[in-house]
Amino acid sequence: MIPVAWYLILSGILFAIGLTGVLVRRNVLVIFMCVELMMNAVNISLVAFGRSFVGLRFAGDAFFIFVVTVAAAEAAVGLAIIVSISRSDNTIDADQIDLLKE
Amino acid sequence: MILEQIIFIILSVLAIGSAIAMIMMKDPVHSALLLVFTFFNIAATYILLAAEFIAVIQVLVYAGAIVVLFLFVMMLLQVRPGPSLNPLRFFQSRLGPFLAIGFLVEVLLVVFASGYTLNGGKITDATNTQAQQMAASIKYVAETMIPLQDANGNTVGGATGNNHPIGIPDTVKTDASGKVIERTGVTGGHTALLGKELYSTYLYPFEIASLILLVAAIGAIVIARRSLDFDRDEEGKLVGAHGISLASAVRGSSQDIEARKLARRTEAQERKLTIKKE
Repeated sequence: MIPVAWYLILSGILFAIGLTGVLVRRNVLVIFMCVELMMNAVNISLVAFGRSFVGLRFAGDAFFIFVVTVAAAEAAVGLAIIVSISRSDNTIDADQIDLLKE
Repeated sequence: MILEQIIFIILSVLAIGSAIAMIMMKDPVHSALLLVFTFFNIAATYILLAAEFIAVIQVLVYAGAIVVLFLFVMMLLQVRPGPSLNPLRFFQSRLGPFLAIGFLVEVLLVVFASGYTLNGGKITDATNTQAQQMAASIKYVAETMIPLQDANGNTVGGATGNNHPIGIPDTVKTDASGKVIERTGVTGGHTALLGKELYSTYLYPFEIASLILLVAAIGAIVIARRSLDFDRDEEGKLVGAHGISLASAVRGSSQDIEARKLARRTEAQERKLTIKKE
């Protein structure tokens, strides 16, 4: 049997990697990928906790489904925004996109 | 160290390594492919958690749909490989990893402080008494929805041995010839039980999730729609708008009036812009 703490450590490391990517990278597409990675890290801990606490039954698994739904919706809308911005500004660099700043 | 733990460590190392490689890559396409590899490894860890349906969803939705969407957008935008880490911005490139490591240390502290009190630090298993209690509570689900045998007496709907950690062991009664006459226990497996749970306990969240997908689909179409462009011939004369040819619209129809209205408005805007530039 694998201790549940191992899953939590894996989840934490993957989340930290995704956070690093979001903070460091400038390409909007890569930032979005890192957000997906962070959601996956959270999903691992959700399913592991769902298996760990008996009273939860399928709560972790059900939450996984909902997180996947939100991730898919977010990816669709986010990528549409990226396509729209790159059409008007001709860039996908996060530092160049400062429409609201002006 | 048992085999299961060794497999978990191999999968974790591969997932973490490819995730690190993903954020280091210059080319976003390489990042996307490494992200697929990470997702596959995470899917394999879900199988270790006895969540087969979750693993399938992970591969289908994340590796299949979402990353392909990313790749399509890259194809449309023709992104050029840029600098992976920006050396010019000190706070962005230096402080980011430090913040992330600080976060990781916090998480690890919490895990090590509480991890071994969570159910003895173990994932529940079939020999665990808690698992037995849980299985008793979900027994009605499986027994009412899964047919145990087909007409010929063959068992259907899942593994017969039932090593599933959240199921209960089968008790099989056989007659003298060895034919199964009665079977109790969870034969549905993870997928059937999760489906039942989603459509009963989590029915309203499930419906709301479908609504979110609908709104997101409409929103994505509206946002990504091509901005108002007017098609002109070589002399700059207006021949169409909105991807609709003016010639094709029936004269006087609502479509025709709308297109002409838009054309007038845009021409006025363009005139204003050229005056401003001059």
